[in-house]
Amino acid sequence: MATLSASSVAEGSNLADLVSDADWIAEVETINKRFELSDDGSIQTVFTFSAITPMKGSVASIDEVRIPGGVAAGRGLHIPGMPRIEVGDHHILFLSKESVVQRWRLPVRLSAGAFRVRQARPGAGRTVVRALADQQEPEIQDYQAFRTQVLHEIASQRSR
Amino acid sequence: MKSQASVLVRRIAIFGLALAVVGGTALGYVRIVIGGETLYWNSNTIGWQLSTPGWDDLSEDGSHRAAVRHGLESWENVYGSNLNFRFDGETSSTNFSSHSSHLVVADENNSTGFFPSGTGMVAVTPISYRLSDGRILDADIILNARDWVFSTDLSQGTFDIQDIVTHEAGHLIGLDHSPSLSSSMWPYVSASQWLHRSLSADDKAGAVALKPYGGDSRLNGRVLSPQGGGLSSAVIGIVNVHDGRQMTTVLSEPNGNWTVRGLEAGDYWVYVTPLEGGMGESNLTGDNPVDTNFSADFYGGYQSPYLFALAEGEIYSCGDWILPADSPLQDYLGASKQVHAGSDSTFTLSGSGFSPGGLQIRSKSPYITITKVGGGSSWRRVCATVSSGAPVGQYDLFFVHSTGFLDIAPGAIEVVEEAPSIQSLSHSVVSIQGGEKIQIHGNGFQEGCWVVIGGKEAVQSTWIDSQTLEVIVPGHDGGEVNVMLQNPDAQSCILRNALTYVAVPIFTELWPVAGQSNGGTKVLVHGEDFSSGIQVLLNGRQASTTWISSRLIEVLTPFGTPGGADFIFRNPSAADVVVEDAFLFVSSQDPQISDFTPSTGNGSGGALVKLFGRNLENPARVLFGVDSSTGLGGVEGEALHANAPNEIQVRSPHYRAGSWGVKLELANGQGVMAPGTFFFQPAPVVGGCAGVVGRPGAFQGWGELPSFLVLFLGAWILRRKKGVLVE
Repeated sequence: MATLSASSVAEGSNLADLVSDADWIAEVETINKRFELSDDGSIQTVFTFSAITPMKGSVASIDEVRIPGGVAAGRGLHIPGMPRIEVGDHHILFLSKESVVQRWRLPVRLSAGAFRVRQARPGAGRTVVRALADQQEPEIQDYQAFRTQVLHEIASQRSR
Repeated sequence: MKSQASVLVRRIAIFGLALAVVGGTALGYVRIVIGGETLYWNSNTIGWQLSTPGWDDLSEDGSHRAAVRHGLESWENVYGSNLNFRFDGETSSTNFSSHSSHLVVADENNSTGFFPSGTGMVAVTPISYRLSDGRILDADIILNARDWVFSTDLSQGTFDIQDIVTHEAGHLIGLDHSPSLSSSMWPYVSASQWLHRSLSADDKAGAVALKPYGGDSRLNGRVLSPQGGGLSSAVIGIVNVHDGRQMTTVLSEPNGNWTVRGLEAGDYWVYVTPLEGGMGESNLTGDNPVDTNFSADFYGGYQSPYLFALAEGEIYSCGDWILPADSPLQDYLGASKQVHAGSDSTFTLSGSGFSPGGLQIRSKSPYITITKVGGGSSWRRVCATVSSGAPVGQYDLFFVHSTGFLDIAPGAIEVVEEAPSIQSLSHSVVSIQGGEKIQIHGNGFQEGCWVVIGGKEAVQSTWIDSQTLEVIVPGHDGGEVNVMLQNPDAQSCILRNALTYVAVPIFTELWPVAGQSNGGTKVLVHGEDFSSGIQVLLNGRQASTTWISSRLIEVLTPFGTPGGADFIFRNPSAADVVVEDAFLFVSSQDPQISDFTPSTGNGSGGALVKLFGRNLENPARVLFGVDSSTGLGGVEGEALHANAPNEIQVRSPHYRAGSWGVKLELANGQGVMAPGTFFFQPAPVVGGCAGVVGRPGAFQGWGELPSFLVLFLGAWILRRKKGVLVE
């Protein structure tokens, strides 16, 4: 039985599911973010990502992605379960298709679809930390190994 | 043993490296804190509306209404809390951005934009808040009805609407995820799960923290790291000394302070454990730091914890407690194990640092015994034996290592009541009108349980005992329906196709109320829900019945002995409706009217009308203006007089223009409709800006025209005859 995160009730599952469901996968650095107030009153954050490694989907070298939530006009829109992405962060992101009207993409299964790349300490290897504590998954993975797994899974699914 | 990488990262957290998603709470129970502001509602009462589009595929019978309402209202009526929800009706709007209403939406076409293909999200609760102080301006619950299947009957592979809404309602009111496994705010949910429907003590404490009404008993204190600094977002657990139940968990503030509100007077132990394992920092959406650089412990230690005796309304300080150094012990429990009192359950616990032989898993409840079945360095298979008499509630498990390290799984075991079951109903058939009182028989009915019949919540439920419930059935369309019962602890049961709704006829009136004892009286019966196959009996004798509509039938009386007679109305499959002494059989023959003249009169009345027929003695009244198809309505004529047994006369009353029936009633209740209709001519218009303007009194209206015509024609014929004779 699938275990689902009920924050905004997103499924926290394995890499194959993430790759399968994602329309856009890339290793990116966040180089800018700005908030926009939509005509309907909702707030969105427009992230500018510098693609380090495009992996799946149409990923531009400098890509803008709109994600619901943010702050504007003295108020905030909070989406429980949404991963926090800051300028300067380095992530491997699994994003959904774009909403037709709002042009929003959402991290697949919210925090389960955002793996932050970290330098543990000077001289040590890098790790990826998924912003979801699922007992079926290790909290920390070796960066290179995880990256290889993702690329392998994408290739594997393409070949089917 | 925990991997070196894992340990390393936890140590990294110790040194305060920025985390992607971290969380915490101010005064407990994991409230959402963003930018240092705790989200809050200004009012104790939160209005909400059910957005109507999109639910038809989720619950064909409309049972989602009760499920959504109970999901929200589960947060009400919490001891110590003033929080309330107010249902503001249904709306066709799906505009979650509008601050004027807080919606529960079933989005079946991604109109909200939150569910583009591939999100994997089942529901979302966007919260709009004021940056300056965290005041919540709007929050809406949106279910992803495009990608997931929802239900209210725990159908396999579907998400339970009430379960999901209860969790999302926790976010809506400003709560973040809870580290307690049995909490409705635990971050994971599975298909067909119902556990989140009912609040745990942890959730209730959250409701108290959000909207306290004061006067509650409280415990507070401060937790410190081995180095002496305040521990942020450490899990504080409160345990009832006498039965070992976990009363609630809260998270510490960034400076290590913690407060538990809404406690009842009693004796408590207090433990502290890091927020890690199954529920970790990333499951929180706020931005308070989460410290995990310590090992779990009780105030006073695991072996001999301090007892804190709390009086009613008392605020008691437990003081500071310095936690031991971090340990490799960590559990990864993903859900609490439900066990009935007087039974046992075997299950597997996973984690790390479970070195063989060095670990014991224990409960502090006198009602629960844990025995090891098997295990390895990352798992233990245990049997939990729960003795009868164990109070319902959550119980923690304690991982005690021979090295002295302690790990705690808050709320790992939930002792639940017997699951309810419905065996039978006192009625198998009820009226589509609803309103009937029926009894539900079964087992495990708890006080406060509620019932949904055919998708609609029973109007009123009266708990008789654990095996009997009395409910007033709601109205419903005809057909078989399910009966669902849900206990306050959220366990539910369904008896499928248990009740058949049929149209039970409702009697209103009949006419005439008396008839000849040899039968053959035509009686018009008025009411509701007459089936086309209805049968009518008078004093047990079948009467010839003509169905005219669901509101009118025509009955030809059978033979009857003089005296009162009961009418019995029998719709197919429905219970008989008996109307006692509704009709009177009399020995005299029914009146008959063969003709009447004139058949036209002035609308202002006054026309002398003669009626001809038989058995017209003792007329009581003649009614004009009667609806000729139903026999209803009419105004009594004036100056009624019986000229002979076969002739009566009466003056027509004032009545509005048109053709209307005429009926005669005798003094004993017998009656008959006259054949044909009486035409009331329009009354003359006097004055006005259009039409004929006449001199008042000079013309008696068009009702006299036929008389003029008769006189004219008579004179003309006479003249012609005379003429012929002359000629």
